[in-house]
This record gives sequence, structure tokens and C-alpha cells, in this order.
Amino acid sequence: MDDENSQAKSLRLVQTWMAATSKKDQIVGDIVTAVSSAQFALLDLVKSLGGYLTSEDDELRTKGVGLLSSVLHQGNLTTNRQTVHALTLFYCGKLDDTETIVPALDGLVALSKQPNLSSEDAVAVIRAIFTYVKMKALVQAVRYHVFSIVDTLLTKHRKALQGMGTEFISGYVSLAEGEKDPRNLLVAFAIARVLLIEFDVSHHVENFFNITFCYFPISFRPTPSDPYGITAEDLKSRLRDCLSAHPSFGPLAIPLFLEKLTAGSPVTKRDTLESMTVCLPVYGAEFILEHAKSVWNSLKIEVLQPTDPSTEAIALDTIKSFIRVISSTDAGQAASLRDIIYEECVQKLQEPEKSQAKPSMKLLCTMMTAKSSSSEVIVSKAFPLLFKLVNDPTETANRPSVILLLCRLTDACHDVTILLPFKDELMGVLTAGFESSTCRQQTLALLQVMLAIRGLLTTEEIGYFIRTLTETFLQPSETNDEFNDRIVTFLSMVNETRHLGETALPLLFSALPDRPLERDAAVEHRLIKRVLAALPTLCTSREHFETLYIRLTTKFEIVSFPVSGNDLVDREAVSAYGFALLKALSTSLEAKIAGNHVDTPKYEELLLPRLYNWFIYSATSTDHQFLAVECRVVSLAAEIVSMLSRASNPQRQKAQIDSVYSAFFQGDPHAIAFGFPRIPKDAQFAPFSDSASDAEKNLVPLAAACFYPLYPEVQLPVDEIHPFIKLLLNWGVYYATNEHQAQSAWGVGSSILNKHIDDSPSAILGQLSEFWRTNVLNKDINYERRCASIRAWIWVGKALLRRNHPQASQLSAQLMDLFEETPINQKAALAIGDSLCTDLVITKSNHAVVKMLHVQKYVNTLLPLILSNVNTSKPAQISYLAALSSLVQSVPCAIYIHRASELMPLLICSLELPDVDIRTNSINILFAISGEQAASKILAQHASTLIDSMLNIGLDSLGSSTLLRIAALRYLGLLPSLLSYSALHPHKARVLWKLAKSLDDVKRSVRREGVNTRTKWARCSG
Amino acid sequence: MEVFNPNPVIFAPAKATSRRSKPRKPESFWDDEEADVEVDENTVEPIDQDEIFDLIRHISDPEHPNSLEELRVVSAPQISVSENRVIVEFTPTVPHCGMSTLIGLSIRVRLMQSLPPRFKVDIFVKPGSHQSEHAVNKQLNDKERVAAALENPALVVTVEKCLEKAESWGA
Repeated sequence: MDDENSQAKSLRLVQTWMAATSKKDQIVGDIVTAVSSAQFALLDLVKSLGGYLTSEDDELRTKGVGLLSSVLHQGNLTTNRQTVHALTLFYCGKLDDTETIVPALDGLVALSKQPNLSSEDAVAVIRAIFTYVKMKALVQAVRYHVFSIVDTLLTKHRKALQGMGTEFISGYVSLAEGEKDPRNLLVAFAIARVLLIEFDVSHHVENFFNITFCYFPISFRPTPSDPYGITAEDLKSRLRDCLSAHPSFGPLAIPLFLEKLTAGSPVTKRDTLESMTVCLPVYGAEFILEHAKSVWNSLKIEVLQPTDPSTEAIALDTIKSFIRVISSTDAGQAASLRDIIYEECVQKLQEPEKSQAKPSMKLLCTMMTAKSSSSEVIVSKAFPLLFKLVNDPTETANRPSVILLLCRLTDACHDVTILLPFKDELMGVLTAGFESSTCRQQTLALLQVMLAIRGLLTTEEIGYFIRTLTETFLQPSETNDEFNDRIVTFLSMVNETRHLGETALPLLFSALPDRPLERDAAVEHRLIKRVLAALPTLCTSREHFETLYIRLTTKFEIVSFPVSGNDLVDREAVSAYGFALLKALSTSLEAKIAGNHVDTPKYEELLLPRLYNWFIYSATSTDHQFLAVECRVVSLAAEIVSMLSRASNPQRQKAQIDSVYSAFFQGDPHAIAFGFPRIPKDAQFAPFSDSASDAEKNLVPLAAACFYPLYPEVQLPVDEIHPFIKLLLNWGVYYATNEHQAQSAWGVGSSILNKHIDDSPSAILGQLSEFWRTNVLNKDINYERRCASIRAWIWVGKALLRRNHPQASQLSAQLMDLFEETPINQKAALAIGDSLCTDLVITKSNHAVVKMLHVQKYVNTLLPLILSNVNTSKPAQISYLAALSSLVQSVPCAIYIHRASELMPLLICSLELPDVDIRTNSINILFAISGEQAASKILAQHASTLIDSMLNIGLDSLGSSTLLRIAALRYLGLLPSLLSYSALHPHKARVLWKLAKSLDDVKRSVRREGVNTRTKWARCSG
Repeated sequence: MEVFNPNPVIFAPAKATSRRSKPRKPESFWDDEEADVEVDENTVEPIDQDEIFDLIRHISDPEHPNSLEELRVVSAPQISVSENRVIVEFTPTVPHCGMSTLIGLSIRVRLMQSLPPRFKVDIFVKPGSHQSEHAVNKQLNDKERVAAALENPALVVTVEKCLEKAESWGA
């Protein structure tokens, strides 16, 4: 393309742009494309613009320069040296012109990035800026351009600018002076740091101080909708980089820092301390030494009388930095100063009971970490002083605090060689400390710290202290529970040494007596409980657990089946002691199973036959029956059976369940029981027979425990399931003599239903409806039996609803047929919610079929049924309300929250009912929905009714329970945080006045709640 | 602000008060944790020394980050309760403590809000523990003066700050 053509094209584009009112960017784009594809040269564009660039018309001139700058910006064009030079000169000239300075700076931003910009041009640009640009006359965005140009040139042409010397430095200082915008400051701070480090600023320190320290401390707070995302932290860290950029700042900065430290807010304090931490090493030891006294005095206050924990932590960092700086020089002055500081802190330890003792120790420990050589000095000063205090008979009251100080000091010494000279005295402190009841806890902490320092204590010494501690633990008079817990934690931590098995455990086991304690031996009871609670924590390893198993089972047999003097013993005490022994065993087993220890299956084989043997022997014998009749022991044993069976596999479970079935249903106890004491060959054991004794029936939970965890694929030992389920349900209603037995039988039925209903669904469902007709609906049988049948029905409901069985909701809904009939309707109503209650039988861990969303499905069927029927006549209505509250309170509120507007009036109605349980349930539901956004509007509508109801219930000590009153008051106390003040205000005075009565309630716990609620209401204001 | 006592003695706080009035049961090895939860509805639990101590022990000292209990400004034995009267005695950490009135006022406000109105509450500085003992006692037990003090918004803010910890029972 010839010259003329290209000239014409550029001229055309320029004129289009000048005339255009929209899409200007697109035209600029066209020009850029033309230039970069060499259709015309950049200088052609300048020529075409010629008239505009020099036009007399201000507006045209501005536009002309603007277009050129836009092209440069958008284009990212690489141009040759001459063009760049020409453009640079051109722009520099335009800086003089108030109309073109803005676009000219814009163009220079682009040019300054050009690789072909020569150093001479760079200097020329800088000179032009210094000469013509008056920062105060420009807006932020333009000032930002100026800073960007300087920043870019500083990076690319640093040498050339350094050559300008003072001219550049003072020019820049006057440019940057008075800048206030955070966006510009971020660049300015970066420039200042480069200048301070790379340029010779020795004659301009004060100037730089003025343009940097004037911003300290940064108090900038970004507006909530700040689009630039600049935080105070950004500014602080950039500024801090400047403050720490030059050592000559010291004399000017330190007084400023100290002033801000004394007068500032906590935020300023923290900023100052952090800045000092960075700056002190830069300002240098020599200078710092001159001001060391005042710096130290200001810093120590921040630790001795701390503003808050975070400021204190930062101050300790600063002190560390300070100590490092003054330790970095050999000057004698520094050494004596350090001595003074150490001495001052050490002296504060003289009064360990005062509030400054602990912070002084913190200071000392920090200084030890700052400089390793200081450790020795500090330790040699502090240890003797503390030892003197510990041993001073007039200071006994302070001994615990002194030992704590020793503990901190020892902990700060990471090097064993520093400690060795003091080891003997530390050992003395330990020995004496464990003997005094007031300092044991602190002494133990000291021992722990010493143990953590490798190589300080020998194995023999550790063994000695383990014995001492175990003996202390076994002191019957030792009542400090916290200390005892710590001993156990300590012993379990040193587990890896042999001392536990050789020293501690034998002592602990031998503390267990062979006979139960007397009822009034309170101290001994506490001791034995303590030992039994400690053993499971200590015996987790394979070796120690075996010891525990042998010791505890043997002890259990000795206690439960004494050879002589049987009739003299308090039988309940025997059972209780046996219970405690089994409990320790079960706790250990639980931990082992949870930890998947490989040796657990072994104990399934070892323990289960013995366990069954003990109880079946007891049930069939005449003189040892007390074990079998005590439900609590049987339940615990059943838990152990379940636990082991759960961890088992289907094969072992099959063998186990067959034996249990033979023993409990076919009269062959020897199938499952083996061990001491031997069960006679002809022993009669048939818990499910008509003639079974109470003791025999009591063992049904032990059989049930074996059924619960069965895998669904384990074949049951019965031919047909439905007769077995009938037997279990009926046995619980007609034969069981207590609730434990009945619940176990129903639990087994429920577990089988849940896992096997699909084996023969119609037969089983038929069986269930027969049970419903002949037991629940049957008005001819007595009331107690019908209630029991309803409880059995809850288990039926549970089994089916957990597996999302289609009949589940309907079977539960049948309970509503009883709602017209008093008094059974009450039981039926509560049963609707009870089917949802969690239990330990139909669970995933017991391999039951538990489907997702079964709760939702159940609630979504039953809740509409209840809501549509609730507006009926009296007895049924109360039942529906009761059913509603029992159903809703047992499920997460997400399931019903969308019906909150229907629920609220009904909940308020149920708050008026006399039944305490229904009211408590209703308040629980109110608590559950209180956090929901969806409910807040509904809540506001009913605010005044709710306040009245809660006041009525909370202040009525006759018709309510303690827990109900507490719930009502607590809910009332929650309202100020849920409602707007305008909703509260009309009630505030009345609530406060009425609540005064709750402060005089007969129960302490209610009064406490009253105090809380009243405070919350008193504090709320508009 | 002048600090009246920059380095006071700190005492370890007692654990939750063990009530002397609790009836003792015969010992056994059963798990009796559950039995404790069951509340006996019929027994009346009167307001006692420990309960009032629980109300005020966590009030913060205006000068230090410690509670009145940790500084031994208040203690259970320094409280007495009879039919309709409560007497609380407190010990300033130093005899020239200028904060004593503020501490006393905080105690009074807490008890005013937390005790039934039937109680007459008297708050005294421990005899001999403060140089202007008489003036402080007079200020704290004069209805009009207390009411006037509570008209001062700045003072109310300070008192509420001291009470923050007490209102959450030290948590």
C-alpha cells in the first residue's frame, strides 16, 4: 500500500472517531488493527491527527491527544526507538498544557512500558513530570497514572534515575507529599521502599520520614461495598515495609512508636508492636541501645498489665525481637542492660502470689527463646531464687504458684544440658511436692514437663515416680478428683515403658477387695470407683487387657459366688460390686472394639460362655439367685453380649444364636453356658415356659442381646417366623413380670420383623393384625395389658418404619382409632411419636434395615392426618394435640417447618393442657423452630400469646414440673433475641415485674433460669 | 487512668460450690448419675449463702481482667442470709481503692436484678479494709444515692460491663 493510501485511511479513521458519539472503542480497535497489520504507521496516525493535536480549540486538542493515548494503550504496539522518542517528546510537551495533561499522562503510562524507551527518554519523562505536574490539581485516577509511570520507570531504568541524584529524590518527595487515596498509597509505599533501599537518601531521611510516618498508624477502614478490595492489612504491611527500609529512621521513629504505644487503642498498639518487631533489627543495635531503657519500659507494660491476650502475644514477639537486637552486639553496655532486664524480671518472681509473677515468667521464657546464650544466664538467676522460695517454710502458702513458675521455666529450657545442674533440686521439689496435698497438681505438671525433656530423667527415676503417683492415687483420703484424673492421664501417657505393667497395675488390682464394702464406707467406695474407672484407660494394649480380663472375671466370680459365709453378705451390695467390675470390663471392651483391636474375637469365645454360665447358674440355683434377679447387672451383661456379637461375623453369629436358642427355648443350658460354677446336669432352665421363675425370665435380655445384632443373612433357628413373632409379642404382654423382660421380647420381635418381613409378608402381616384385634382393640382384657400391647405395637411400628415399609404409617395410624376412648387414648397418642424415638435395637450397627428419609415419609403421612382431624370434639382433640406434639418433637424441624403456620396455633393450644409432658414437648418444639427464618414471621404474630403462656407456666409452681418451668422461662428468655424490640416493648415492664416471682421459686434451678431470663429482658432495648 | 493497685494478689477460684445442705445417700457401686438428674419435686430449696455467692462471684473487677472471686473481694463466708435480709461484705484489694464504690454498686445492681424483692440487701466494706469505709457504706446503702448513680448513663455502661461475666455465670 502506498503512502498516500495509508495516509488517507488513517485520516478517515481519525475523522470517523472525532465525529463519532458512540462505539468509539471499536474505531480505536480498527486503528490498532490497521497499525499492527502495517496498513499505516503510527507516525501516519500522528500526521493525520496533526491538526487536532495543535488545534486552538481546547476540546479538539484534548480529544486528539486522547485518541493517540487510547491507541497506545489498547494496542500494546511495539514501536521503534525513534517513534518512541518522538512520542515521548511530544507527550512531555503536552504536560505543560492543562487541557492535554490528562490524556498525555495516560499515553505516558503506555509509553513507559515500551521496551524501546531509552534511559534518556525516561529521565526526560521524569523531569517533565517534576516540572509540570501539580499533584494537588489532579484527581485520584490521574495521580495514580503519575505513580504508575514513576513505578514502571523505577523498575526499568533504575540506573538512569539513580544518576539523577538529589534531583530525583526531592522531586519525588514533593510529588508524593499529601497523597491520601489508599489505591495510590499502595504504589507510593512500594516506590518509597525501593528509593530507601536502592538510592542514596542519606540527606533526605527527614523528607522520607515525613511522607511515610505521617500515615502511621493506619486507621483506614474500607467501606462495606469497597470495589477495590484494599484492606487496612494491605496498607499496614506495605507501610511497614517502608518504615523498616532504612536504619536512619530510628531516631525519628522510636519516639513516635513509644508515644503511640502509650496513648493508642488496642488496634494501634498491636500495629505499633508489629511494626517495632520488624523495625528494631533494621534500626540496629547501636541505636536501640541508646533508647533501650524507654523501649523496654514501654514494652514490658504490655505484658505485665496486658490489654488483651492477643496484644500480649504480639508484645512478647516484639520483646523477642528487642532482645535479639541488643544481644547482637558485644558492647559492654548491651550486656549490662540485659543483666538489668533479667534481674528486674527475676525480682518480680520474689512475690509469686502477685499478679505480675506469671507475666514476668512469660517475659523470661520469651527471652530464653530469643537468644540461646541468655537461657543460661536466666536459668542461673531464676532457679536458685525459686528453689529458695519453695523451700522457705514461711512461703508454704505460695508453694503451688512457685512450682507452676518452675514448671514454666523448665518447659522453656529445651536443652537438657542447661537443666542438668539443677536436676537434683528439681527432683527434691518433685518428691516434696507429691507429699503435700496442696501442690500435687502443680508438681505433676512439673513432672510431665521434665518427662518431655529427653534424657533428663532415668528409667529408674520414672519408675519411682510412677510408684509414688500410683500410691497417692490409692490413698483412700485423696479426694481431689481432678488430680486423680491427671494421674491416670499421666500413667496412660507413659504407657510405653514397662513400669505400668510391673508397678502401677499390680498395685491397682490388689486394691480391689474380695467382698463388697460396707454401705457406710464412703471413702473406700470412692477409691474403688476411682480404680475401676482408671483401669480401662490404662489397659488398652493387648498384654494389659489380658491381665485386666483375667483379674476382673476372677474377681467377679470370687465376689458373686463366695465359697463360705454366703448368707452373711448384703446381697444387693454383692450385685452392685459385681456390676462395677463388669462395667470396667465392658468399658475396656468397648474401647477395644471401637479401635478394631485384633485380639477382640478371642474374647468373644472366652467371655460369652462364662457370662451365660454365671447368670444361668444363678437363675437355676437356690442360693445364688440374687445375680439373676438384679436387672441392672443382667442389662449390663446383655450389653456386653451385644457388643461382642456386633463385632462378630455371620458364621460365628449363626453358631452363637443356635446355642442361645437351644438354651433358652429348648431347655438345654449347657449349649451356651460353660465354666465356673458348674451348672448341674439336670438343671431346669426354660424362661419361656409357663412355669418359669422370675429369675429365669429375667435372663431373657441376655438371649435378646444375641438376637439384636444378627446379620439379615443369618438363618434363624426357627422354622416359621410368624408364630415366633406371635410368641414374643404375647410373652411380653402376658408373661413378662417387668418392663426389662417385656422390652427385650418385643425388641427381638421387632428386630426379626425388620430384617425378615419379606420372607413371608402376608403371614406376618396377618399375625400382626390378629395381635391388634385380640390385644389392643379388645376391650375385654384388662387396661394394663392393653397398655402393654400398645407398647408392643410401638416396636412393631419401629421395625417397619425404619425400613420404609409401605404398611408402616398405616399400622401406626391405626392408633388413632383409640382416640375416642379414655383413658387409653393418652397412651395411644404418645405412641404415635414414640415409634420414631431412637433405640439401641433397630440400628445400622445392629445390621437392621434402616432406609434413608424414613422419618420424612412417616411424618408426611401422619402429620396431615392429625392436622385434618384435630378440630373434633373434646377427648379426641386432646389426643390429637398430644399425638402432634409427641410426633413433631421427635423429628428435625426441617421436616415440618413448612407447616409452621398451621402448627403454631395448635402448639399454643397444647400449652393450655394440664398434661405436663405435652406442654414440655410443645415448648421443645418451639425451641426447635426458634432458629428458623421461616418461622420468625409466625412467631411475631403470636408473640403476646406466647409471652403470656410462658409466664403462666414458668411462674406456676403447683401445676407444673421443675423441668417444665425451666423450659418455659428459658424460652421466654430466648424471645428477646428472636423478636424485634417493637414487639417486645409493650410487654417489657410487665414481664420484668412478673418474673420477680420466678426469683422466689422453690427450686434453685428455676430461680437461676429466672435470673437469666430477667437479665435478657432487662438488657433488651430499642 | 490511674491504676490503684497495679499488682494485686490472685487466688485460684473455688470449683462449683458443693452444697452442704445436700442429703447424703448410702454408698453403692450402681451408676447413680441418672438418679441425680431426677428432681425431687417436693423438697423446697431455700436461697442460701452459696446461691448468692454464685450470683456475684464472676463480676469482673473494673481495674483488672479478674473476677471478684479471684481477687478475694467477695467470698461465700462474707455473705449472710436470713428470712428477708441479705448482708454482703466485700474487701477492697487496697485501702485506698477508688473503685470500691463501683464494685459495691455492681454487686447491688446484680442482686437487685436477681433476688426476689422481699429481700432487703445491705452491702458493706469489710470493717477496717478501706480508708473511707463510712462514706462508701453510706453511698451503697442509701436508696436515693444508688438511684441517682443509676441515672448516670456512663456509670450504667461501666456497671453493665462489670456484670457481663456474672450474667453468663463466668462462662
